[in-house]
Amino acid sequence: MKLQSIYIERFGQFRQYQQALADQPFLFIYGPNEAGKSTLMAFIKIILFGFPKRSDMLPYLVGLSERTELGGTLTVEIPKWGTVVIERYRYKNDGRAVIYLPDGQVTDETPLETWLKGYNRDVYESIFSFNLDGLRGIEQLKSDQLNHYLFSTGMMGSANIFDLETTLEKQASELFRPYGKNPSINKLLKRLEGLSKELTLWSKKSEAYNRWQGDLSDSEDQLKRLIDEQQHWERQYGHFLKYKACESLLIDYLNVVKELEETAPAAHFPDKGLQDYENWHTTIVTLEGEQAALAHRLGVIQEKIASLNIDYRFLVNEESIQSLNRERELLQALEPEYQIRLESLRLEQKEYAIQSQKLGATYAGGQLEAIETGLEIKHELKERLNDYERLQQQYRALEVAIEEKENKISQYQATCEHYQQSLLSDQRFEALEAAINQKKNDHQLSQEQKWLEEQIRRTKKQENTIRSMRLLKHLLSGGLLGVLGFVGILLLVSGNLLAGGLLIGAGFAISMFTWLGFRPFEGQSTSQRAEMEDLYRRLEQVKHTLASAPEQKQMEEDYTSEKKRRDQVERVKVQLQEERASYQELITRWDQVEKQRHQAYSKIEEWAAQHHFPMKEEASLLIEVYDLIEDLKERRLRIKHLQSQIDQYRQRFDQFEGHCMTLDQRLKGSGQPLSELINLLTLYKENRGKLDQLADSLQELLEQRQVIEEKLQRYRQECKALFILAGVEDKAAFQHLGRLYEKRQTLLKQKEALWSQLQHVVPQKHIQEQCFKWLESDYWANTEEAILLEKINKLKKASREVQGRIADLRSAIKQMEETTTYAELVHDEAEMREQLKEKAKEWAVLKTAAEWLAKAKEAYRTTRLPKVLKQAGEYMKEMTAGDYVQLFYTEDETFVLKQAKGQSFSLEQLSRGTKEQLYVCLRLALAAIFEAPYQLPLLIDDGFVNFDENRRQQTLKLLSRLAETRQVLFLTCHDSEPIQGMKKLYLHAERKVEDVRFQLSHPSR
Amino acid sequence: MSVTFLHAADLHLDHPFKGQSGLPETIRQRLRQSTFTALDRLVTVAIQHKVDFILLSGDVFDEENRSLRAQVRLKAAFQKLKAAAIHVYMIHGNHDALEGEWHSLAFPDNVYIFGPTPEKISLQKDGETLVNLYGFSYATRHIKENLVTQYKKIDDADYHIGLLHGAAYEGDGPNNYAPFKISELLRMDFDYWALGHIHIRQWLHREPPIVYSGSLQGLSPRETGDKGFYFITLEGKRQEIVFIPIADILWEHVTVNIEKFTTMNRLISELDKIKEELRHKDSGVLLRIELTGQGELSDVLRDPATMEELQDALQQAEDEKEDFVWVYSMQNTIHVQDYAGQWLEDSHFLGDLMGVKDDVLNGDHLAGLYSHNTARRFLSPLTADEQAEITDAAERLIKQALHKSIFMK
Repeated sequence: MKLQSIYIERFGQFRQYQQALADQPFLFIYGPNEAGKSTLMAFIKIILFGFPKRSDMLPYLVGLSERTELGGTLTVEIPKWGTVVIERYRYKNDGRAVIYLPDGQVTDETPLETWLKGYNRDVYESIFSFNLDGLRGIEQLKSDQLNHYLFSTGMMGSANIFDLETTLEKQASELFRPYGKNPSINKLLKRLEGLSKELTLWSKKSEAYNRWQGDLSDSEDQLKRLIDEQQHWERQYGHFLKYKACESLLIDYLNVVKELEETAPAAHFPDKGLQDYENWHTTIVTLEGEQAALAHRLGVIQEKIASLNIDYRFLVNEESIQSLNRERELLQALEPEYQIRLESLRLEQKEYAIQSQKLGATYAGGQLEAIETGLEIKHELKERLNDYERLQQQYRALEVAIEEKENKISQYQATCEHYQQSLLSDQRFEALEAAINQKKNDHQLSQEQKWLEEQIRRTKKQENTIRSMRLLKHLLSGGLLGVLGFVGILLLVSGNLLAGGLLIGAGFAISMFTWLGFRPFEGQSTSQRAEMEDLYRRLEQVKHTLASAPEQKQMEEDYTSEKKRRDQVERVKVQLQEERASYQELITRWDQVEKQRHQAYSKIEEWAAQHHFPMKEEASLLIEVYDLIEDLKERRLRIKHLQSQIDQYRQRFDQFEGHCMTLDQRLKGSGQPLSELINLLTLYKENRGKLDQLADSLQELLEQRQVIEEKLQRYRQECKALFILAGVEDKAAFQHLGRLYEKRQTLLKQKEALWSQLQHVVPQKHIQEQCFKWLESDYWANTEEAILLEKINKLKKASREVQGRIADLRSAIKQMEETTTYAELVHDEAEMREQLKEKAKEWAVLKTAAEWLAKAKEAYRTTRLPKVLKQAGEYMKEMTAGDYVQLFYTEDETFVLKQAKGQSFSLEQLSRGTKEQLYVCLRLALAAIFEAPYQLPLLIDDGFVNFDENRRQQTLKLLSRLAETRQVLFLTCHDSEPIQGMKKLYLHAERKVEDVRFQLSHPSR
Repeated sequence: MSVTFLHAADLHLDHPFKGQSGLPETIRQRLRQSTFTALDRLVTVAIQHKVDFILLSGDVFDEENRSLRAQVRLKAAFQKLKAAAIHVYMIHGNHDALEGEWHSLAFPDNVYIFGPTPEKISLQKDGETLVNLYGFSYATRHIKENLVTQYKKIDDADYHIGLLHGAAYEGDGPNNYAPFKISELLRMDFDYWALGHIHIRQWLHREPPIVYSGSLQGLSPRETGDKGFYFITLEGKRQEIVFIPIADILWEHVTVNIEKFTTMNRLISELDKIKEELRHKDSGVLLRIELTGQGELSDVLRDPATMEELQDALQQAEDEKEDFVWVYSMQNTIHVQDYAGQWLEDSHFLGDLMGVKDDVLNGDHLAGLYSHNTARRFLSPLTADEQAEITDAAERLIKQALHKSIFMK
């Protein structure tokens, strides 16, 4: 396959770029940085292999719009096919190529796969295309790394395959090492071991679970037995204690029974006889003492009663005395008021007299009462008075206005006469007026004069314009005619009759049109002349008129002042007339008011007569009179009221004195003052109260004495009855008999008490009976409490131990049932096993892949490497001009270069440049042995930048030789001397318009 | 008279789930408890609906060494059912056969466990025999004979129900799980067959119903979709059978072709959408996502770090949710252009690589690990499928690595 030409429609910085790749198979494409060498290489690969992902395209899309049509064509020579054109555009045909065959057929990209032997971009790039990257850092590699690097370069064209092998081994080691501790599988195994141990422990525990259940059951049975035995001995112990508790009671009880049998019962002695007798006797003694005390108290009370003094007359008249006393106090309280009223009466009377004097009349009581007063009456009076007053004021105001009006009218009359005298006669005034009018016209004429002059100036200007237009008309028409005619004649003379004739005709026509076009201006000129004449005529007239008008300034002034005077007179006359009219109105109004005023006064008189008031000439005084009369009437009422109160008081006082005299008579004329009588009354009342109390006490004591005597009698009789019952007659015999009786009673009680205690200690009847039997048989004679207790304690201890064991078992069982630890461990173990399995599989994958690589590497080493080494050696020989002749790869995986002289060098002994040369040779060798039906072109992008010039030249020579069998495109930014078979092409940095070669025969057009 | 009951099977209580190591603690614990959660939900439904009884058709426990915890929980569940007067009829299956070491917790008297030979139990109601139940428990882990033929129908009840834990005959292959023929079951003329053993619910027959209820809770990533039990009402000839899903954890698997996605954001959006579609209000979902195909994102997704980041992004905040959708696995089977065919013919290292492929890939991949004493104890031999899986993965690894590290310059 051979690339013949490139056309780039748009890609990177290329736009409509066409480049023929010369016939020479070794193309040295030289261009500065940023000239587009890499872009060109990328373009070639795109045409051959298709557009890569957008992300890989980005460097070539900078500055381009989204839909910029990227693509172009590549003209390629294919053996057996001929020259084909491969066209590919990004947005046409979905980026798929269109192929134009030599016979004109157009096909899709199917043949392309065949021509490229199905190689895609990646394979092609790895084998047939290389750049600086492969040499980057080569000088920094250690020798073993370099060996690997070069080995893999020879294998794959890339140095990374050994990294892959190393990575796989490393990753596998990180997962597992047979004796390792840190790899993840090793750690997992360790954890699994630990987990397994824990599970074993738990398994044992869960085995123990069943055993615990059995033990629990046995222990519960044992506990039951122990408890039963313990309960038995506790019962025995209880019986023992009970017996011991009641033993003494039993003995005492039996003794009492025996003693009772020995004591004979006393007959007929009253029950509790002794006690009763003692009680009665004690009570009798007590009562006798009380009786004595009572007698003494009675004597005291009677003495007191006798000493009290009471006068019952006072008590009988108590109410009267109290009543008089209250009356006296009341009168004393009313005394100040009485005095006040007396003083008030005197003052009222005095005022009454003064007001009557003001009024100027003395009214008897009846007369004053006849005068009517009241709010309504007063209000009515006020209204009428207000009306009258208002009318009165209006009347006065009108009188004043009328007087003023008369004065004004007189003034106006005088003024009017005065002005009349200074006026001109009517005739003289008319003449003056005419002269003034005349003056006004002159002003208008001067204005007209100015306007006329302006109009004349304008008209003259227009005339000048028309004159110019006329001249132009002549020139144009004549000129055109002349010129065109002249030319036409010349044409005619020269034989061009038609043209000549046409020109001459055109000249005539144009000059005719021009002539005709200026005609309106002629008309205008004529009319303007006529207008001008009229203007001049008028101007003359106006000037003449103005010149003949007389100077009349003084006349104007005279006229003006006369006019003013006349106007003034007129105004005064008008005012006089108005005043007279107004005066008339005032008079009319004054008459009306006078009438109303009289009416209002009459109304007031009516009112006074109606309410019996004394009428006054001055109506305004009536309101004062009214107030005075009203006041007098009030005062009269008050005097009456005061007089009445004073009389009441005096009457009451007289009554009081009368009652006092009457009381004194009833009390037998003691003549004592009332206050003294009150004191005596109080004293007698107190004494009466005391007497009542003493009488009550006396009565009570008498009653008590009676009760005591009755009791004494009864108790004595009781005592006698006891003696009779007991069958004795005296106290001594009674007491003796009583003692005997009580002793027996005591024994009986003891017996009862003992029996009660026994019941309390041993309630159960059968046990009681048993206790009596035990006492009788000495059952418990040899039994000790301590021994019983010891037995019981032993049993308790045993029970506790069993209970503890039961609790432990239950706890363990519950823990087993509730614990999640074991279950979690089982889950954890399953999870961990699964993890281990996954990790193991992961490790297996890595190991398998590493093994695979190793085997492939071995296969390559045995089968292909020799060819590569041989070819690379030949290239090295050529590149180093025979300095290095052979290349080996030793058993310990190192490259060795052998010189022609026979000396061998390992890689670390080589210079950097030589190493790089070796790298290039291996790449080229790989490409060489990579068989293909067509030798695909080699694309090298500045691969030898670090070579010195000599090495570079040798390399280029080698490439040139290789180009004999396959096309080599070498792109660089470093120029070089041309060598045999090399064609240099220069790649510009800037695409200029001149670079565009537009081939019309290109099939893509 | 009608009868209502629940049919469940293959509870595998306290089953230890595998592959939990990458799960957050909350989800892991919930997964470990999921078999018990399913049991509790079963009991709740039974009590709420006051069913007459529950049938448990085998594999109630996970292994012969059934965990004490499982037994204690089961006993507690039975006690609740007893308080609600609900009976339980249970058979043991191959995973919890009657043999083996296990603790014998006494269940309450509302629970009846069938013995190793086929027998009949009757349920009385209102003084009449309502239902006759027939079944047997596995005495040992494997039962090769067909014991269905020993079921004897006694026609003194309104309804007849058979319990059976086993696998139907399929061809002439060996069958160690109480094999039976459907025709035999039909001949019995029972009203309902409550089967267990197959974890995928399925109906072998409609009328009468011969039903596998499936496992109550999915036990591995292969058991995807809803899991639960059947709620059955029989009233004369009328049957109403409703499936009730109750699993607390659902396993799901989706495959996504990356062809149409040009950016990672779009891919993530699509995966988020898938997650939301799978979200389930009453359960958590454990989701495995497999990316396939080839497209713009092929190279990016080949990077394990990218896949890890993608998985992290999808896992964000899910562990805090009750109805989580947790992506526990993201696999990448994105197509790598296979050069193998063409490489084989090349005079090139790649050709050599392909040439030695068969020698390497068919070997014993775990040989190196098995030499380790401890590893040997805990590693089971690889199955043929696992061998093939490793082989494929190794091949994919090499190709991807070569593609990335050799061809990408």
